Amino acid sequence: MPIGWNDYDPSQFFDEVMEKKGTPRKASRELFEHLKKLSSRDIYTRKKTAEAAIVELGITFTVYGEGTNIDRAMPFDIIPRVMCGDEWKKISDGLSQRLKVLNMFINDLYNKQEVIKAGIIPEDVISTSRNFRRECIGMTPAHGAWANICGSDLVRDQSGTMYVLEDNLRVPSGVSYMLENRKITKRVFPELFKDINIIPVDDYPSKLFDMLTSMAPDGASNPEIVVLTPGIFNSAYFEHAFLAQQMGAELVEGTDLHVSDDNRVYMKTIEGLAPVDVIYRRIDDDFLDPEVFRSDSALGVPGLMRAWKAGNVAIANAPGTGVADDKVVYAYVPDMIRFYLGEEPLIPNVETYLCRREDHMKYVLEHLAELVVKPANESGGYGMLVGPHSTKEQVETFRELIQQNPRNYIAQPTLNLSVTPTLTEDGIDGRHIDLRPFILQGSGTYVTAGGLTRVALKKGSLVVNSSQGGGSKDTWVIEEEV
Amino acid sequence: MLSKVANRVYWLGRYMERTENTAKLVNVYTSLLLDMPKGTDVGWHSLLKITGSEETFGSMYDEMNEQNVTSFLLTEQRHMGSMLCSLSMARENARTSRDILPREAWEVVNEIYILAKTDKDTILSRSGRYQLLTRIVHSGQRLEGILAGGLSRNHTHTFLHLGRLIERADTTTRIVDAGALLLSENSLKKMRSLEGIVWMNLLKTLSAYQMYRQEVKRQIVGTEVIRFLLKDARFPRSVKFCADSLELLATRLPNCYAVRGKINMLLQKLKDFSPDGAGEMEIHRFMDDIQIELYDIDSAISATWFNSELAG
Repeated sequence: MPIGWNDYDPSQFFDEVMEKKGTPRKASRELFEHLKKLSSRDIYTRKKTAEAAIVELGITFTVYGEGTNIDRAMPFDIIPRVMCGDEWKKISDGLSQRLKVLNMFINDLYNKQEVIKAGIIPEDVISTSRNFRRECIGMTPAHGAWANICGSDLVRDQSGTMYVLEDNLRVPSGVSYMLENRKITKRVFPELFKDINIIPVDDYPSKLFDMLTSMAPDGASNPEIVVLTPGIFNSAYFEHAFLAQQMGAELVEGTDLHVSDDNRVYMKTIEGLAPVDVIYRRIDDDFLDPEVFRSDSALGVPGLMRAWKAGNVAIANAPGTGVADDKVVYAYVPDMIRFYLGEEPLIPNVETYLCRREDHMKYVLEHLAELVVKPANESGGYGMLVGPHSTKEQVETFRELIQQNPRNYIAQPTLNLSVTPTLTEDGIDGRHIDLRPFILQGSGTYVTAGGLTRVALKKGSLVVNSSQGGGSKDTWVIEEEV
Repeated sequence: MLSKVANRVYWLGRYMERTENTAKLVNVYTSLLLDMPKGTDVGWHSLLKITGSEETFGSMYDEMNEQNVTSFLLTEQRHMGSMLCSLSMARENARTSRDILPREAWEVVNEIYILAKTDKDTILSRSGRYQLLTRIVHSGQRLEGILAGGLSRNHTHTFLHLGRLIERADTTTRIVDAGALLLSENSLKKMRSLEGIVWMNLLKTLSAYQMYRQEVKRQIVGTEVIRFLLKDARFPRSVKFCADSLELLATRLPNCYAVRGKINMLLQKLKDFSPDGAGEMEIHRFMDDIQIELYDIDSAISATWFNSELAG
């Protein structure tokens, strides 16, 4: 029995693969023709192949508070999401533009603050930002790049327009799943890779390595690079280990590092102390250095900030980068692009209401049940209100939260996120998705071909975070033949 | 190499070796019991003696029957020395060392663990046990193959093998000890004809039977088996071979002086020992001595490379 492709109906949503019922988009044609030929038994067998591969490869993410069984297999959907190369080129340019400006902005904030003087962004937004680090004032990292690794979330609305939903500049994760998803999909549909020009993604670790090398303090021609992880209980530990492995870098925890009186960072090896040049940190600022930030933290390295400020070690992403991760700052990014580059943003922001502004707050409070409300500095989908999917009590709780701390909340219209065909227990059905491409900036800029597509596996759900029950699938950017 | 990472792979080596050894031991022992005539008191308790875990067993189980002893040795979660616990710790160490191991190494460790864990009940039935334990042993050997062919001869390799060798030498002394213990059982003393069968089975536990035949080319006699397992320089599971390899590996590492000193003490002890005319008790005491030497080597390894005093 064939799988129900003929009944598949994206209804009112924008569908990534299907133009309308029965007609695939141009870039998806070959995929669609192939999948249509497979029986449902064949499809479910392949689903099983994928599941077995995930367990075998040990592709897991960690969930807090589940006792000893902390390591869970990543939920994965075998049907890829497809994008065409021409469209991707434009998006990719837009992402480069954005990260370039975000870095100019961060560097400006810790130095001349021209953006504030020019009235582009209000001073109090920065002075009240939890992630603005006074300790960083006066610093300029190599190439002026603070956010060296950025994961921006992109979403499409029902008209098909792509928006940046948020920029993740602190310790964005998910890139290892992007790479693993491709590996699994190659196992599941090897025949498709022969016929379709899918742009490979597996050069990411070497691009990351090159970027980190370009950050090294002067004189280090063959720098020692380490990945700093909070440890095995962190939800992204799998990724930390994966990236270290792929780059041939040491995976270290805070206790493996030591800052000596000469303000240099060393790691503890079997031969004694060995100098470290570049740290790809996956620990939040707060825990980075107990001498400067939270003194009760055992995760970080005492003296790390001293070493960084002395220019003896590069840290990616640089401490203080998080100031641009603030969702209030996000609202000003299009203006920053105009201010710093004199260009128009290539990818628009989602319309955003800032509760710190009286007029916006009034609107937000009146329309709470229609809006998505987000705290300015959370990640992982925590502490959000999705108005249309919430109870009256939840809405009222947020009304109070917002009034207590307007600075900390933004609101956006509930978007009709695009959908893509996803294999469910009863055949093919549309599920909402987003996309997280990864952008690197060191001496140059690099954008992944596509990124990590996250899927809200529950019917109708808009929440794609893996910590909230979401899954992921492979993302294909297809190079059309000329 | 990071001290912490060195420590992890060292224990990965030990746990994997222990997993394999436990699987083999239970397998061979099950088949040995089938050969034993009725009326001998060789039973499952001897397996606890060999592994030195009578006391721990006693605190968890009342009766020393096949079911209890095998589940204690193979799958008991509360017993840190059980095969499944070793495997679970090996997996944890492999998982946290994925960045420096060949990818397939982590995959195969993960696979053995899943195999052992999901088929826990099969292990406990006599019929399913043989097959499953054999598969676990084979997977362990696949890991050896992956490491032999895919891991550079770097410090990771060195520490993995230091761990393996210490554990391996330790197992060999326990097996020799077991032979002596079994043969000192009163009921067996009366049946000297069984001596050959006991030693043959112990050789099989160490996959040493064929090599013994080729090297010694004689009837299977206790003193020769003991000499072979302790002093043969060419058989990879003999204590002598393990100690020689330990010494060789240690020289590849920085600051190896103290560790080499301890290894040389072990080698000297082996050289001075002769099994000829040694009684069961003497053998038993000597095996204890060697185990203490191995313990000292382990402590020296740990003090030299895992604690990184310099690091302050």
